[in-house]
Amino acid sequence: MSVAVVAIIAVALLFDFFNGFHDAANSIATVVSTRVLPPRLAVAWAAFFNFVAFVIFGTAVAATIAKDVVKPGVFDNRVIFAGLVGAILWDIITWWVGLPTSSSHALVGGMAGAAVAKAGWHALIASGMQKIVAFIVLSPMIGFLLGFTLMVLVYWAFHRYRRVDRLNRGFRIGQLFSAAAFSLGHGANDAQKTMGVILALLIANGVVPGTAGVPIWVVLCSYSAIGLGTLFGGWRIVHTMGSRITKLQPVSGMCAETAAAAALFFTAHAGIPVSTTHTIAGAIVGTGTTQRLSAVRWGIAGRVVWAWVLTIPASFVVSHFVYRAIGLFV
Amino acid sequence: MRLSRRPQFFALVAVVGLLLMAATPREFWGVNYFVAGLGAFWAVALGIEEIAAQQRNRKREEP
Repeated sequence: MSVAVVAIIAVALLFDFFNGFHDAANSIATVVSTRVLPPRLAVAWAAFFNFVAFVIFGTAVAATIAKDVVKPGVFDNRVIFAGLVGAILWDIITWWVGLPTSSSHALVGGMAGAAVAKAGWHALIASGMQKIVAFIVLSPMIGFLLGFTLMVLVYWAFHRYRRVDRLNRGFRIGQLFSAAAFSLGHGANDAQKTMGVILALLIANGVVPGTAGVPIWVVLCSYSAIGLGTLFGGWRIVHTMGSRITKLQPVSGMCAETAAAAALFFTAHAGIPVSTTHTIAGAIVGTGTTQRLSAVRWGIAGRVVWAWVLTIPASFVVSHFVYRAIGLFV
Repeated sequence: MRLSRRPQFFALVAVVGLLLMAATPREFWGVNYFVAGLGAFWAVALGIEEIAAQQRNRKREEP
Protein backbone atom coordinates (compact mmCIF):
# COMPACT_ATOMS: atom_id res chain seq x y z
CA MET A 1 0.00 0.00 0.00
CA SER A 2 1.49 3.36 -1.06
CA VAL A 3 1.88 6.41 1.18
CA ALA A 4 -0.78 8.22 -0.89
CA VAL A 5 -3.32 5.44 -0.24
CA VAL A 6 -2.57 5.49 3.50
CA ALA A 7 -2.92 9.29 3.54
CA ILE A 8 -6.29 9.19 1.72
CA ILE A 9 -7.54 6.46 4.09
CA ALA A 10 -6.58 8.81 6.94
CA VAL A 11 -8.59 11.61 5.28
CA ALA A 12 -11.56 9.21 4.83
CA LEU A 13 -11.42 8.29 8.50
CA LEU A 14 -11.19 11.99 9.35
CA PHE A 15 -14.38 12.50 7.33
CA ASP A 16 -15.96 9.65 9.29
CA PHE A 17 -14.84 11.31 12.53
CA PHE A 18 -16.41 14.61 11.39
CA ASN A 19 -19.53 12.70 10.39
CA GLY A 20 -19.89 11.41 13.95
CA PHE A 21 -18.98 14.86 15.29
CA HIS A 22 -21.54 16.57 13.05
CA ASP A 23 -24.30 13.99 13.51
CA ALA A 24 -23.81 13.35 17.23
CA ALA A 25 -26.57 15.89 17.66
CA ASN A 26 -29.06 13.66 15.86
CA SER A 27 -28.46 10.74 18.17
CA ILE A 28 -28.57 12.68 21.39
CA ALA A 29 -30.61 15.81 20.70
CA THR A 30 -33.88 14.31 21.87
CA VAL A 31 -32.30 12.61 24.90
CA VAL A 32 -30.54 15.78 25.98
CA SER A 33 -33.39 18.18 25.28
CA THR A 34 -35.82 16.03 27.30
CA ARG A 35 -33.17 15.77 30.07
CA VAL A 36 -33.18 11.97 30.06
CA LEU A 37 -29.36 11.90 30.09
CA PRO A 38 -26.77 14.58 30.81
CA PRO A 39 -24.89 15.59 27.64
CA ARG A 40 -21.62 13.77 28.48
CA LEU A 41 -23.34 10.47 29.21
CA ALA A 42 -25.58 10.87 26.17
CA VAL A 43 -22.64 11.16 23.76
CA ALA A 44 -20.91 8.15 25.35
CA TRP A 45 -24.15 6.16 25.01
CA ALA A 46 -24.52 7.14 21.34
CA ALA A 47 -20.82 6.50 20.55
CA PHE A 48 -20.99 3.02 22.07
CA PHE A 49 -24.00 2.03 19.95
CA ASN A 50 -22.47 3.63 16.85
CA PHE A 51 -19.58 1.20 17.24
CA VAL A 52 -21.68 -1.84 18.16
CA ALA A 53 -23.57 -1.53 14.84
CA PHE A 54 -20.76 -3.43 13.11
CA VAL A 55 -21.85 -6.64 14.86
CA ILE A 56 -25.41 -6.36 13.55
CA PHE A 57 -25.36 -4.87 10.06
CA GLY A 58 -23.68 -6.01 6.85
CA THR A 59 -21.91 -3.78 4.34
CA ALA A 60 -24.63 -3.25 1.71
CA VAL A 61 -24.43 0.56 1.96
CA ALA A 62 -20.63 0.43 1.58
CA ALA A 63 -21.03 -1.64 -1.59
CA THR A 64 -23.48 0.93 -3.01
CA ILE A 65 -21.04 3.81 -2.38
CA ALA A 66 -18.06 1.90 -3.78
CA LYS A 67 -19.71 0.39 -6.86
CA ASP A 68 -23.07 2.07 -7.66
CA VAL A 69 -22.38 5.83 -7.70
CA VAL A 70 -19.33 6.30 -9.93
CA LYS A 71 -18.15 3.90 -12.65
CA PRO A 72 -15.37 1.77 -11.15
CA GLY A 73 -12.74 2.74 -13.73
CA VAL A 74 -13.14 6.45 -12.94
CA PHE A 75 -12.07 6.24 -9.31
CA ASP A 76 -8.45 7.13 -8.65
CA ASN A 77 -6.61 8.72 -5.74
CA ARG A 78 -7.22 12.29 -6.93
CA VAL A 79 -10.98 11.77 -7.45
CA ILE A 80 -11.43 10.17 -4.03
CA PHE A 81 -9.27 12.77 -2.27
CA ALA A 82 -11.08 15.70 -3.95
CA GLY A 83 -14.48 14.12 -3.16
CA LEU A 84 -13.56 13.72 0.50
CA VAL A 85 -12.12 17.22 0.84
CA GLY A 86 -15.23 18.74 -0.79
CA ALA A 87 -17.51 16.81 1.57
CA ILE A 88 -15.43 17.75 4.64
CA LEU A 89 -15.41 21.45 3.66
CA TRP A 90 -19.20 21.47 3.21
CA ASP A 91 -19.66 19.66 6.52
CA ILE A 92 -17.48 22.20 8.34
CA ILE A 93 -19.33 25.16 6.79
CA THR A 94 -22.76 23.79 7.73
CA TRP A 95 -21.60 22.79 11.21
CA TRP A 96 -20.30 26.33 11.70
CA VAL A 97 -23.64 27.91 10.78
CA GLY A 98 -25.56 25.26 12.78
CA LEU A 99 -27.37 23.63 9.87
CA PRO A 100 -28.31 19.97 10.21
CA THR A 101 -27.17 18.87 6.75
CA SER A 102 -26.32 15.39 5.65
CA SER A 103 -22.72 14.22 5.67
CA SER A 104 -23.85 11.32 3.50
CA HIS A 105 -25.22 13.52 0.78
CA ALA A 106 -22.11 15.68 1.04
CA LEU A 107 -20.03 12.56 0.39
CA VAL A 108 -22.15 11.42 -2.55
CA GLY A 109 -22.15 14.95 -4.01
CA GLY A 110 -18.40 15.25 -3.41
CA MET A 111 -17.56 11.94 -5.11
CA ALA A 112 -19.87 12.75 -8.02
CA GLY A 113 -18.39 16.26 -8.43
CA ALA A 114 -14.80 15.01 -8.52
CA ALA A 115 -15.70 12.13 -10.87
CA VAL A 116 -17.48 14.48 -13.28
CA ALA A 117 -14.47 16.84 -13.16
CA LYS A 118 -12.29 13.93 -14.28
CA ALA A 119 -14.43 12.09 -16.82
CA GLY A 120 -17.59 14.11 -17.51
CA TRP A 121 -21.21 13.22 -16.72
CA HIS A 122 -20.79 9.69 -18.11
CA ALA A 123 -18.71 8.88 -15.03
CA LEU A 124 -21.89 8.60 -12.96
CA ILE A 125 -24.03 5.46 -12.72
CA ALA A 126 -27.59 6.65 -13.36
CA SER A 127 -29.38 3.81 -11.52
CA GLY A 128 -27.26 4.23 -8.37
CA MET A 129 -27.73 8.01 -8.31
CA GLN A 130 -31.46 7.53 -8.96
CA LYS A 131 -31.79 5.29 -5.89
CA ILE A 132 -29.94 7.80 -3.69
CA VAL A 133 -31.84 10.83 -4.98
CA ALA A 134 -35.25 9.16 -4.55
CA PHE A 135 -34.48 8.26 -0.95
CA ILE A 136 -33.26 11.79 -0.18
CA VAL A 137 -36.97 12.66 -0.27
CA LEU A 138 -38.42 9.31 0.80
CA SER A 139 -36.39 8.78 4.00
CA PRO A 140 -37.63 11.92 5.83
CA MET A 141 -41.16 11.12 4.64
CA ILE A 142 -40.90 7.62 6.11
CA GLY A 143 -39.55 9.13 9.36
CA PHE A 144 -42.39 11.68 9.38
CA LEU A 145 -45.15 9.12 8.84
CA LEU A 146 -43.74 6.54 11.26
CA GLY A 147 -43.13 9.24 13.91
CA PHE A 148 -46.72 10.48 13.62
CA THR A 149 -48.16 6.94 13.62
CA LEU A 150 -46.14 5.82 16.65
CA MET A 151 -47.10 8.95 18.56
CA VAL A 152 -50.82 8.42 17.84
CA LEU A 153 -50.56 4.75 18.87
CA VAL A 154 -48.85 5.69 22.14
CA TYR A 155 -51.44 8.39 22.89
CA TRP A 156 -54.22 5.95 22.06
CA ALA A 157 -52.75 3.22 24.28
CA PHE A 158 -52.14 5.45 27.30
CA HIS A 159 -54.77 8.21 27.14
CA ARG A 160 -56.76 6.77 30.04
CA TYR A 161 -53.69 6.34 32.22
CA ARG A 162 -53.81 8.99 34.94
CA ARG A 163 -50.42 8.59 36.68
CA VAL A 164 -48.55 10.97 34.43
CA ASP A 165 -45.34 11.00 36.50
CA ARG A 166 -45.00 7.25 36.30
CA LEU A 167 -45.82 7.27 32.63
CA ASN A 168 -43.19 9.91 31.92
CA ARG A 169 -40.60 7.90 33.85
CA GLY A 170 -41.44 4.90 31.63
CA PHE A 171 -41.02 6.97 28.49
CA ARG A 172 -37.71 8.34 29.72
CA ILE A 173 -36.40 4.79 30.16
CA GLY A 174 -37.87 3.93 26.75
CA GLN A 175 -35.94 6.84 25.29
CA LEU A 176 -32.66 5.25 26.34
CA PHE A 177 -33.49 2.26 24.15
CA SER A 178 -34.80 4.34 21.27
CA ALA A 179 -31.64 6.51 21.35
CA ALA A 180 -29.54 3.32 21.32
CA ALA A 181 -31.53 1.99 18.35
CA PHE A 182 -31.10 5.25 16.47
CA SER A 183 -27.36 5.29 17.19
CA LEU A 184 -27.14 1.74 15.83
CA GLY A 185 -28.88 2.87 12.64
CA HIS A 186 -26.65 5.94 12.43
CA GLY A 187 -23.47 3.88 12.85
CA ALA A 188 -24.64 1.30 10.32
CA ASN A 189 -25.57 3.87 7.71
CA ASP A 190 -22.86 6.49 8.07
CA ALA A 191 -19.80 4.40 8.95
CA GLN A 192 -20.54 2.26 5.91
CA LYS A 193 -20.26 5.26 3.60
CA THR A 194 -16.65 5.72 4.65
CA MET A 195 -16.07 2.00 4.25
CA GLY A 196 -17.41 2.33 0.70
CA VAL A 197 -14.96 5.13 -0.09
CA ILE A 198 -12.02 3.18 1.34
CA LEU A 199 -13.12 0.06 -0.56
CA ALA A 200 -13.26 2.07 -3.81
CA LEU A 201 -9.76 3.40 -3.07
CA LEU A 202 -8.37 -0.09 -2.37
CA ILE A 203 -9.93 -1.45 -5.57
CA ALA A 204 -8.65 1.52 -7.63
CA ASN A 205 -5.12 0.89 -6.35
CA GLY A 206 -5.30 -2.87 -6.87
CA VAL A 207 -4.91 -3.60 -3.14
CA VAL A 208 -8.05 -5.77 -3.25
CA PRO A 209 -9.81 -7.27 -6.31
CA GLY A 210 -12.87 -5.51 -7.80
CA THR A 211 -15.24 -8.17 -6.53
CA ALA A 212 -13.93 -8.06 -2.95
CA GLY A 213 -16.04 -7.23 0.07
CA VAL A 214 -15.01 -4.71 2.72
CA PRO A 215 -11.90 -5.92 4.66
CA ILE A 216 -12.54 -6.31 8.39
CA TRP A 217 -9.85 -3.77 9.36
CA VAL A 218 -11.68 -1.15 7.26
CA VAL A 219 -14.94 -2.03 9.04
CA LEU A 220 -13.36 -1.70 12.49
CA CYS A 221 -11.51 1.55 11.66
CA SER A 222 -14.66 3.15 10.23
CA TYR A 223 -16.85 2.28 13.21
CA SER A 224 -14.13 3.43 15.62
CA ALA A 225 -13.76 6.77 13.81
CA ILE A 226 -17.50 7.53 13.80
CA GLY A 227 -17.80 6.46 17.44
CA LEU A 228 -14.94 8.76 18.44
CA GLY A 229 -16.43 11.61 16.41
CA THR A 230 -19.73 11.20 18.22
CA LEU A 231 -17.87 11.21 21.53
CA PHE A 232 -16.44 14.63 20.72
CA GLY A 233 -19.76 15.67 19.11
CA GLY A 234 -20.88 19.11 18.08
CA TRP A 235 -23.40 21.06 20.10
CA ARG A 236 -24.59 23.72 17.71
CA ILE A 237 -26.94 21.34 15.91
CA VAL A 238 -28.28 19.80 19.14
CA HIS A 239 -30.11 23.05 19.70
CA THR A 240 -31.71 23.09 16.24
CA MET A 241 -32.73 19.44 16.31
CA GLY A 242 -33.68 19.11 19.95
CA SER A 243 -35.69 22.21 20.67
CA ARG A 244 -36.08 24.56 17.75
CA ILE A 245 -38.04 22.37 15.30
CA THR A 246 -40.66 21.51 17.91
CA LYS A 247 -40.71 21.20 21.68
CA LEU A 248 -40.00 17.60 22.60
CA GLN A 249 -41.31 15.59 25.56
CA PRO A 250 -39.87 12.19 26.56
CA VAL A 251 -42.73 10.45 24.76
CA SER A 252 -42.22 12.37 21.50
CA GLY A 253 -38.44 11.92 21.72
CA MET A 254 -38.90 8.17 22.11
CA CYS A 255 -41.34 7.95 19.19
CA ALA A 256 -39.18 10.12 16.92
CA GLU A 257 -36.06 8.05 17.56
CA THR A 258 -37.86 4.73 17.21
CA ALA A 259 -39.40 5.85 13.91
CA ALA A 260 -36.07 7.09 12.56
CA ALA A 261 -34.28 3.93 13.74
CA ALA A 262 -36.84 1.74 11.91
CA ALA A 263 -36.29 3.72 8.71
CA LEU A 264 -32.49 3.50 9.07
CA PHE A 265 -32.53 -0.25 9.76
CA PHE A 266 -34.50 -0.78 6.57
CA THR A 267 -32.23 1.38 4.42
CA ALA A 268 -29.03 -0.10 5.91
CA HIS A 269 -30.38 -3.57 5.12
CA ALA A 270 -31.38 -2.55 1.58
CA GLY A 271 -28.03 -0.85 0.89
CA ILE A 272 -29.46 2.64 0.42
CA PRO A 273 -27.25 5.49 1.72
CA VAL A 274 -29.71 7.92 3.33
CA SER A 275 -29.30 10.91 5.56
CA THR A 276 -29.69 10.10 9.25
CA THR A 277 -30.12 13.84 9.83
CA HIS A 278 -33.10 14.17 7.54
CA THR A 279 -34.68 10.95 8.74
CA ILE A 280 -34.68 12.08 12.39
CA ALA A 281 -35.74 15.62 11.38
CA GLY A 282 -38.74 14.11 9.53
CA ALA A 283 -39.58 11.95 12.54
CA ILE A 284 -39.39 14.95 14.92
CA VAL A 285 -41.72 16.92 12.65
CA GLY A 286 -44.05 13.88 12.56
CA THR A 287 -44.32 13.68 16.34
CA GLY A 288 -44.83 17.48 16.54
CA THR A 289 -47.65 17.25 14.00
CA THR A 290 -49.77 15.13 16.38
CA GLN A 291 -50.42 18.32 18.37
CA ARG A 292 -51.18 20.53 15.37
CA LEU A 293 -49.24 21.67 12.31
CA SER A 294 -48.43 24.98 13.98
CA ALA A 295 -46.61 23.09 16.79
CA VAL A 296 -43.82 22.65 14.24
CA ARG A 297 -41.70 25.74 13.65
CA TRP A 298 -41.87 25.58 9.89
CA GLY A 299 -39.32 28.38 9.50
CA ILE A 300 -36.67 26.20 11.18
CA ALA A 301 -37.89 23.09 9.33
CA GLY A 302 -37.65 25.14 6.11
CA ARG A 303 -34.00 25.97 6.89
CA VAL A 304 -33.37 22.24 7.27
CA VAL A 305 -35.03 21.61 3.91
CA TRP A 306 -32.93 24.28 2.20
CA ALA A 307 -29.75 22.73 3.57
CA TRP A 308 -31.11 19.40 2.41
CA VAL A 309 -31.68 20.64 -1.16
CA LEU A 310 -28.33 22.45 -1.35
CA THR A 311 -26.01 19.77 0.07
CA ILE A 312 -25.45 17.58 -3.00
CA PRO A 313 -25.07 20.47 -5.49
CA ALA A 314 -22.84 22.46 -3.09
CA SER A 315 -20.51 19.58 -2.24
CA PHE A 316 -20.54 18.63 -5.95
CA VAL A 317 -19.29 22.12 -6.91
CA VAL A 318 -16.73 22.29 -4.06
CA SER A 319 -15.24 18.89 -4.96
CA HIS A 320 -15.24 19.77 -8.64
CA PHE A 321 -13.07 22.82 -7.90
CA VAL A 322 -10.88 20.93 -5.42
CA TYR A 323 -10.22 18.32 -8.15
CA ARG A 324 -9.22 21.05 -10.60
CA ALA A 325 -7.15 22.87 -7.95
CA ILE A 326 -5.18 19.68 -7.20
CA GLY A 327 -4.47 19.49 -10.94
CA LEU A 328 -2.62 22.82 -10.73
CA PHE A 329 -0.12 21.34 -8.26
CA VAL A 330 0.19 17.73 -9.39
CA MET B 1 -67.31 22.36 5.67
CA ARG B 2 -63.61 23.19 5.71
CA LEU B 3 -60.70 20.92 6.44
CA SER B 4 -57.65 22.26 8.27
CA ARG B 5 -54.15 22.09 6.86
CA ARG B 6 -53.26 18.84 8.67
CA PRO B 7 -55.29 16.32 6.59
CA GLN B 8 -54.33 18.27 3.48
CA PHE B 9 -50.66 17.97 4.44
CA PHE B 10 -50.95 14.18 4.79
CA ALA B 11 -52.76 14.01 1.45
CA LEU B 12 -49.88 15.97 -0.07
CA VAL B 13 -47.37 13.51 1.46
CA ALA B 14 -49.33 10.63 -0.10
CA VAL B 15 -49.34 12.29 -3.51
CA VAL B 16 -45.60 13.06 -3.33
CA GLY B 17 -44.96 9.42 -2.35
CA LEU B 18 -46.76 8.29 -5.51
CA LEU B 19 -45.12 10.90 -7.74
CA LEU B 20 -41.70 9.76 -6.54
CA MET B 21 -42.33 6.38 -8.15
CA ALA B 22 -41.06 7.96 -11.35
CA ALA B 23 -37.66 8.46 -9.69
CA THR B 24 -37.57 5.32 -7.51
CA PRO B 25 -36.07 2.09 -8.89
CA ARG B 26 -38.78 -0.55 -9.39
CA GLU B 27 -37.37 -2.83 -6.67
CA PHE B 28 -38.18 -0.15 -4.05
CA TRP B 29 -41.69 0.74 -5.21
CA GLY B 30 -43.00 -0.98 -2.07
CA VAL B 31 -41.62 1.99 -0.11
CA ASN B 32 -43.61 4.43 -2.30
CA TYR B 33 -46.79 2.39 -1.78
CA PHE B 34 -46.13 2.36 1.97
CA VAL B 35 -45.65 6.15 2.12
CA ALA B 36 -48.67 6.83 -0.11
CA GLY B 37 -50.86 4.34 1.78
CA LEU B 38 -49.98 5.58 5.25
CA GLY B 39 -50.23 9.24 4.15
CA ALA B 40 -53.67 8.62 2.58
CA PHE B 41 -54.85 6.71 5.65
CA TRP B 42 -53.99 9.61 7.97
CA ALA B 43 -55.42 12.19 5.56
CA VAL B 44 -58.77 10.33 5.55
CA ALA B 45 -58.72 9.58 9.31
CA LEU B 46 -57.92 13.18 10.27
CA GLY B 47 -60.45 14.48 7.73
CA ILE B 48 -63.22 12.28 9.20
CA GLU B 49 -62.27 13.34 12.72
CA GLU B 50 -62.47 17.03 11.80
CA ILE B 51 -65.80 16.70 9.97
CA ALA B 52 -67.27 14.77 12.90
CA ALA B 53 -66.06 17.43 15.33
CA GLN B 54 -67.55 20.21 13.19
CA GLN B 55 -70.92 18.40 13.08
CA ARG B 56 -70.88 17.86 16.87
CA ASN B 57 -70.19 21.55 17.42
CA ARG B 58 -72.97 22.58 15.04
CA LYS B 59 -75.49 20.33 16.85
CA ARG B 60 -74.43 21.77 20.17
CA GLU B 61 -74.90 25.32 18.91
CA GLU B 62 -78.43 24.58 17.55
CA PRO B 63 -81.18 25.47 20.03
